[in-house]
Formats: sequence, structure tokens, C-alpha cells
Amino acid sequence: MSDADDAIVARELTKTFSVARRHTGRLAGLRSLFDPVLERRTVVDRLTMSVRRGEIVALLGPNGAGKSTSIKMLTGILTPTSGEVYVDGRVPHKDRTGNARSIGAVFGQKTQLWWDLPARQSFALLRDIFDVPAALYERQLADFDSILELSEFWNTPVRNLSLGQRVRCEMAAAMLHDPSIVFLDEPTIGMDVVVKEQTREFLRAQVQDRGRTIVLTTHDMTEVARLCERVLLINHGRLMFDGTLTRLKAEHGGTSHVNVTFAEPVAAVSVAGARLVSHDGMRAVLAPEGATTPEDVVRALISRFAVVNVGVEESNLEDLMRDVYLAQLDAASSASHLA
Amino acid sequence: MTSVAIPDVAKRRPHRSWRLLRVAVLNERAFRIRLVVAPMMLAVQLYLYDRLWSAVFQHTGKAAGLTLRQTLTYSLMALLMGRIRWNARTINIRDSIPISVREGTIVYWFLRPISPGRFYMWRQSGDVLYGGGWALLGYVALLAGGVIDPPAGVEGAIVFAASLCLGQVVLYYLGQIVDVAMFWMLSNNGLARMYYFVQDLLSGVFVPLPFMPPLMLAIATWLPFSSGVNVPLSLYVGRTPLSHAPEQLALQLFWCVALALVTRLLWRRASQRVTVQGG
Repeated sequence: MSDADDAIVARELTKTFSVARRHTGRLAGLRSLFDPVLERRTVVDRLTMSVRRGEIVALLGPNGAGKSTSIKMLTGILTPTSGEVYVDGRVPHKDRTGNARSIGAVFGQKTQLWWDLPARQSFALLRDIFDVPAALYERQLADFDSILELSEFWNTPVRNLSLGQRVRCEMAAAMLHDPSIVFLDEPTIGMDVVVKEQTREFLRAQVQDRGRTIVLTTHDMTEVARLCERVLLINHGRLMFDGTLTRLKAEHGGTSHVNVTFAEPVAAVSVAGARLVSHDGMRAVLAPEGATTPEDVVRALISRFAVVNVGVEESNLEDLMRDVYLAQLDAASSASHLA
Repeated sequence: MTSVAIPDVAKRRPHRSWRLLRVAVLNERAFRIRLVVAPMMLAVQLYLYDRLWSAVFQHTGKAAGLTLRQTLTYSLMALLMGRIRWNARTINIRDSIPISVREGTIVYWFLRPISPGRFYMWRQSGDVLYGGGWALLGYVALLAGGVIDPPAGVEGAIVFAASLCLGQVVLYYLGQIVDVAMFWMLSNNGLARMYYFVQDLLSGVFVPLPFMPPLMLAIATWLPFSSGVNVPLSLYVGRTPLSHAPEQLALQLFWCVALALVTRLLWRRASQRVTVQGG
């Protein structure tokens, strides 16, 4: 069983799919139909993790890393091939209806609203499906409206809403029944910065004021930095890292780069506390090291050289993930050499 | 910090998911033109069938054991019965299983405190009640206009009503099997179109089953489709005597139970393979 303080516990969680491989050559279609060649593909591989109540956690990874499959196992949609999973003390795929009361979910662009009906009518239908008491329903709507400004457009058919408006309605729909745990699979994809910020404020309020647990998958590092205390990094279905974003950056070359363009060619570029990544006379790229911040490097460059342009480029998620993955490969390789 | 636990009172409340019945009407209201087109289309179909059968019977008093009056009553009511599940034929409806599976929104069916099968049942029932309303209006209009015959007394009306309900349950389960098949297919459009053609042909919607050649009639009788339309209408027009009603109703009941078991099994298997939605 799970610890009472843990909202989510997964132990050695594995999901393997059978994928039919097409025959090639003559009558390939017919042969594939009557004599399919099945390949086993492991999408999530012995994933062990836990999330405490009231925590907001980012589940990160490149495309195809197994994030969505993991979320679908945690929400009870998919049945794991092996391993254990507990969400709010339940095994989600064995008690789907009980689990549904404890969790809410938004899956990216997939809508749970009725496409041709006004969003407000979808909310009312979800109220009936989840048996939400009238008082709680009204309180929830008022609460969500105060941050997400839903009433401006909730009488509009969903098909006529903009992406940002629809995703705000999706958020409300997912939390209308007051779930203690919420799964958000790339909820802000394609949204403009204003709506993204509004959504983040809403999520922060849900964690701080309502004590919800949130598991978020995203490719947006700003979102992770602004919302999440903890990062779980998975790749090839395996957990590669579990810790804070600061620690992730510190341990895996939290590599901000300072890009500088000089007014005239410079023979040698050297800044204390920064590694020179590249230099071609007029332009240079430096990476701050140790306690040196990008701002320190910018100040040093401006004070010592004639600079016409300077900018700081944060390493993106893909870079970080690649670094983590390579570091683990190195560690595995070293271990096998020692053995 | 506010408690986020679901209040106990919510868990004890009776389910209000039956209110999903209203989605059918809400969807129709969203496209008001349908409210005009549906009765117009029905009126045109009824008129054309009336003309067609009148022409067929121009030189004969009886065909396939049916008089013109019986044939008109059978075929016009068959058209009306076809309207009952018109919206429930879910090929292009957004919250249908085929579209939900294809777009990935089927995941939400598994994140609700009612089973996907129950959600499907309420949605379909709403569509059937809505379509049934139109069919009833058409029936009353045809009766009032003297175009079709009334049932043979109170007993005939009760037997017909019971047979009609059982027939609709049979068609509901058959349609559900086609829909749930979507979990194993990339698209069930072809299957659905073929199925609905076969269903309409072998149930008696297109042409009364007594007009079928012997082999097709035998096949239709052994398949569940005839339970949907032919059995209740044969009892209504008197082609099947009311004394044979118990065995006909028993046959319909058998199909209801058998198909219910099949759909139950299919849902169980389908819920193990919700993988079609991708990413």
C-alpha cells in the first residue's frame, strides 16, 4: 500500500504494447491481416516514483519518452503490464469509478466538453455525471471564474471558442468535482503568453488554496520554472532524474549561454568564472561555471570589451535531457568497465 | 487550506447521470435547422413510399400475403421506426464512440464515476427518446389522416408496444457492438455503413420482409435484425396472429439477453485496450 501522505505511488511500473509489424513484398496487406508479426515494445520501463499530497510536480521528457503512457496508467485508463500503482490509496485501473472522483485530467488538445454546446452546459452535464452538490458546483464555478474569467465566454458553443478560452474551460471541467489530484498533459500547448500566465495563476491557486496535487507534463521550461517544485525526468520509459529544477540544472550543465557580439574583432576572450564555448573574432559564446551567474558574465564582458549585442540563452529542456541521458550512459559504461 | 475531499453526502447521492438524456435535445437545439429538415425529410419519405406501394398494388389486391392497406401500414410505420434511432446512428456525432476513439477523447469516458457503457446507454436513450418523439408525431399524423390502420384493439396495441420496445433494445445492442468494434479498428465507417444497410434491409425498413425471396426471408428470420422492425410490425398489421405473440416476444427477449451478454464482454475487452488515442 501507499503512505498516507503520498497522493501517488508507482513501483516498478511497466507498460508493454504489442505492435503489429507490416509484412513487405507481395500480398503484404493480406499477410499482415492473417499472419501479423507482433513486436513487444516497452513504453514505460520499471518506473518508480511518488508524489506527496499538495505537491505540484513536472513530469518531463522528450516526445515518445513515455510521459503520456505513464499518466494514462496513473489515471487508470491503461492497465500496467506489471508493477504497482496507487493513486489516492486506490489501484486506479481496478477501481476506475472510485478513482474518477479523486482525480481530474486535461489531455492537451483533447476536449471533454460537448463540442456543439455552450461550455456552461458541459459544466452542468459534468455536474450531473459526477453528482456534484449544487452548492459545491456554484462555489466552484464562481471560484474558477474569478481567475479564469470564464463567464465572458461560457455561453458560447465550445466549437466557437479560441484555443485559450477552451483550455481554460477544460481546466474548470477537470476540477469541477473537486478532485484532490489533477493530471495535466501538456495543457498550455499552443496558448499565448497571457493565457498561459492566467492558467499558471489558476494552478498555483489550486495547489496553495485548495491543497490539490498536480502532475504536469509540458515542454515549456518557463512553465516548469514558475510552477513546479519538483521535476521527474523520464526518457525511454525510465526515470532519469527526480529533484528540483535548480538541482537538475546544476548537475547537468544548467547551461545558460551568454552570446556576445563585439564592435570589432577580439583576439582573445577570457572571463573569470566562465568557459569559452566558441569564438570567431566578432562573436563569442560563454558558459558561466560554478557560482558565476550569466549576469556576472554580461557585466564582465561589457566592462572589458566594446560590445554591440549581448544576450543570455537558457539551455532548453531537450539539452538538459540529453545531458542527463548521456551522463547515465557514461555511468553505466564506467560501471561495466570496472566490472 | 480548504479541504478537497469529496463530501460524504456526494457519495450517498443517487446518480443523476440519467440527465444525460437531455444531450440529444440540446444538440438538436444547437442546430435549429435540423428541427425543420427532420420533419420535411420524413414527410417526403412517407409520401414517396405511399406512392410507390400504391403503384405496386395497382393491378393486384394482395401480394406476399399482405393487402395494400397492410403493406402501407407496415412500410410507413417501418420508416417511422427507422427514425427512432436516426440520431443514435453515431457515424458523425462528436461524442459518439467512433469519433471519440479517433480523436482520443475516449479517455474521458474512463475518467468518470459512471462506466463507459452506462454513459453510452444514457446518450443513446436520449437520442432514441428524441427520435421516438418525431416518430410518434408522424404516427399520429398518419393515423389522423387515415393513411394507416390503427392497431387491432387494446390487446394488439399492448403487444405491439411491448414488441416495439424489445425490438429497440435489440437494435440498441446491435448498434453498440458496431460502435465498440471501433476499439479494435482504425475506422469503423465502412463497417457501420454496411451494418446499417444490412440492418435496414433485413429488419424490414426498406421493404416489408414478406416481400423478400424465400432464402433471404429465412436468413432474416434467423438473424436478430427482424426482431427490430419486422416482428412488431407483423404483429401490428395482423400478418402474425396475436396468438403467436408469446413466442415472438420470447425470441426478441432471447436476442436482448444474448446481445447484452456480448456487449458486456466487448466492453470488458475494450476497456483493457484503450490505446487508440495515442500521445
